[in-house]
Amino acid sequence: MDTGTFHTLHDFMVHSKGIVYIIMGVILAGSLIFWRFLTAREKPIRKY
Amino acid sequence: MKRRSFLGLVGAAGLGASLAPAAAQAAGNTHFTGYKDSFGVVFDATRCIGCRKCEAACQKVNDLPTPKKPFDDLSVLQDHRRTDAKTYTVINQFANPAAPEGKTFHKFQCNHCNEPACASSCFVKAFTKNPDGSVTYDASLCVGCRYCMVACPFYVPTYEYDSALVPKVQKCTFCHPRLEQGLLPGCVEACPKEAMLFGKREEVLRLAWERIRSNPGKYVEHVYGEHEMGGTAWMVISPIPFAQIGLNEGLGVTPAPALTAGALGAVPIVVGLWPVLLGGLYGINTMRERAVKKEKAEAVAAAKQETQEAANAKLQDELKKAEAAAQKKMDAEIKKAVDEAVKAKVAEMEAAKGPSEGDQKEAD
Amino acid sequence: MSDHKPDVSTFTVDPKYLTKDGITGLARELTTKEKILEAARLHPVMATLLIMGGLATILRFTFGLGTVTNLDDNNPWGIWISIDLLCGVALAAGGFVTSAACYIFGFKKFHSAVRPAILTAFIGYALVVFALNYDVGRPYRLPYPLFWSQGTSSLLFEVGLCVFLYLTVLFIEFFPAALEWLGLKKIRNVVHSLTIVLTIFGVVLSTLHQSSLGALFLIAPSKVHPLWYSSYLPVYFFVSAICAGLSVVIFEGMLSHKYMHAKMDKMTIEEHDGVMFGFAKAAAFVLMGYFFIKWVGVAADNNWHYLGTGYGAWFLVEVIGFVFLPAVCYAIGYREQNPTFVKVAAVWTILGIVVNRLNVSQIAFNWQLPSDLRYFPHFWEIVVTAFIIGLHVLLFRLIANRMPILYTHPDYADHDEDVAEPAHGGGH
Ligand code: SF4
Ligand code: SF4
Ligand code: SF4
Repeated sequence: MDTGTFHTLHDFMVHSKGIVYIIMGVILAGSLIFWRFLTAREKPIRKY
Repeated sequence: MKRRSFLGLVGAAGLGASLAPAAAQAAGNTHFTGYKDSFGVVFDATRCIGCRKCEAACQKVNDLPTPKKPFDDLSVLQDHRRTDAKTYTVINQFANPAAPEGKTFHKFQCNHCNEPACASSCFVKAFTKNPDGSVTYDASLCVGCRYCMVACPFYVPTYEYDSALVPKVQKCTFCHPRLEQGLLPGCVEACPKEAMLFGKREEVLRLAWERIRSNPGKYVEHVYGEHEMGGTAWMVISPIPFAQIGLNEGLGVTPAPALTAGALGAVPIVVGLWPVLLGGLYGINTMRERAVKKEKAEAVAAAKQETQEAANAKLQDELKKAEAAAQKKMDAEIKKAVDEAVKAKVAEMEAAKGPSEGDQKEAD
Repeated sequence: MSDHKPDVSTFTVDPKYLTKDGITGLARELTTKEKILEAARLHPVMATLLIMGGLATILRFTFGLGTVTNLDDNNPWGIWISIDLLCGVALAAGGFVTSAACYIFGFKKFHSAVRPAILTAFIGYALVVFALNYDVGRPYRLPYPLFWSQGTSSLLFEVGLCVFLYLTVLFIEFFPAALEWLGLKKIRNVVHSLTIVLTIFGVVLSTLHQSSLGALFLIAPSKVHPLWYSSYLPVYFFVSAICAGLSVVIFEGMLSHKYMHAKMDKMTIEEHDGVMFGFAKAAAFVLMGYFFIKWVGVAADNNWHYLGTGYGAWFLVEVIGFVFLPAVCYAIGYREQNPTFVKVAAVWTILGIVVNRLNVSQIAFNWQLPSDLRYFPHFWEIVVTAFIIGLHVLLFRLIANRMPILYTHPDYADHDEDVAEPAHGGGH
């Protein structure tokens, strides 16, 4: 695997974990939206 | 012994990092060998005479406050000292009966780790590992949490505890500004005994091993800092075991970022899976609740229906009974009517038997 | 208990709310003069604490940490981190534990315990952040890691981010109480309908930062004694935080029951025993699990030989004396349905958490340094820590005396049902 521009594990982790943190935000929002999509047609309409 | 030198050769060949399993663990099959041409220093404890000239030079080149006792006062060596916010390096003296003066010295300063724990731990990226090998600190970012001090395995970063509102972390800079100008670090330059071997890290490491090998018995066969905590830019060779000159021999070879990689790696998994698990649990509970409710409703409905049916049956019964009764009554009525009619007929016929009588009667 | 009547003498209560089931309801808006008088009515101990705390604050921000702490270059973290941060956060776990039990795991009989637990957690976290302002060198830069320069490789970044987010979540979770108090029905119902989402977020964030507090020490294997250093540290911190949270809810219910009885409604009082025994059962089992995995850590690093040393003895005291025994005490309390055992176990567990956090961050930390280089808290450090704890008690009483925390606001009783049984539609 190409280490790209990273010379130290530290730099690599700062970069990769930064992206992971952004993904985590997307996960939280995404799972909420998807849950609403999933359950929207259930008879009693949930409101949260 | 053989193994050590083998490892030394491998390390000198720049392959050391590839043998460190932790690095591979932390980033899949990626490994990092550091900056190719970074500088390093090997401190040779057999050469240092404890003159404190390096301390003086460090104070000068870094514009640090002048200490109370002058640098030529060697009485401070009686106590084991450490650096503080006003000193970046100190010389400590240790007993060594085998040495000419019965003493061996160690120079303490930041070791400029290949994978610095201070940088890995800082939550505002105040530390940087520079391509020249130095690890420098940016006070304009620092919050003053002191986690870097907790993290550094060598107890290097110090802190301006006396500053109420603008304290800084302080530590040796490897004279990063001087290196950029092509100058030697202040302490290295000042040393009269050339106790510090400065050059490219790979190069000085190789030279260190050469010294160890070409002087059998003079050195402990280990370069301290070659692999410790993933390797450091500043290394030490010593005539006596490293523990006896105040160094921790139990640091291991795992670089700091690899120590936290597992915990950090678990974070996004928790974020991804907890909502699924908890949402699932919640869903199961709601479903169960709903099922319970539905069952209840059904039971009620069933009960209702049963009652209804029973009632219906009863009604039917009643109706039937009533009908039967009505029929009976009707029958009785009919019978009665028929009976009456028959009686009447009989009476009529009887009357018709005797017409005279009948006529007479009619005439009545 | 059905004849429970609020103590009208101490509170100014709108008589409108006195009729329904003895619910005390909203306190009438006090006049400014009354407010000042009431605020000034402090216990002498509390008053001393506040004055000393104020003094310590002045000293800290004029002369710096060097004057008020015994911290040095070898011991950068003192009890402000060990107690105010590590213990503070662990003990504030009651919030997420209780709301998860009630809303996600479906233990609806715990409903009356949710609000006090959320309030305790909210105050707890707010004070943790407040206390950090004393400890860090440049408190005005505390937002830096979040908004300016993200050190994503640091576990402390993770802690900071999650504590910040969770404080926000707790604030929103607590918001309905404030809105009910203010009589803002509409917003209150909108916020209230978010309950499940907030609870799940709360559990996620709590899992992360509770465990990350333990993971903070992963980077220093050479400084923490092997018996306490383990790659399982994050798991240990998380599991023990659950025990802490459960115990604090029991403890806090116990105190409220004793001192704020007048503010509780019938439901809270009637559910109190159920909550206590339910939580005791959970705490007993979780503690026992924690006890077992502690040994997995010892075995994983093959640290058995350390058990014979002084540190080993102290480790055994912690693991047996402050984990195993309180678990047994909880279990007996639950089996016998004996409140005394449960309460003792709760206090015992809380002490155990404090012992554990102190062990990891102080006693086992820097264990290889000679004793004259080790840390012992400065007088002012202890004062500030006591001051923070005092503030917690004060704030809880201040808020619980006014807002519908220990009772259900009569106007909103039905809405609570909606969240508990969302099947028939949360919206109104
Ligand atoms: S010795 Fe300490 S301060 Fe220096 S680079 Fe390594 S971790 Fe950082
Ligand atoms: S004290 Fe400063 S440099 Fe050290 S970890 Fe904290 S913010 Fe970073
Ligand atoms: S490298 Fe520079 S800063 Fe570091 S000890 Fe030597 S003179 Fe001081």
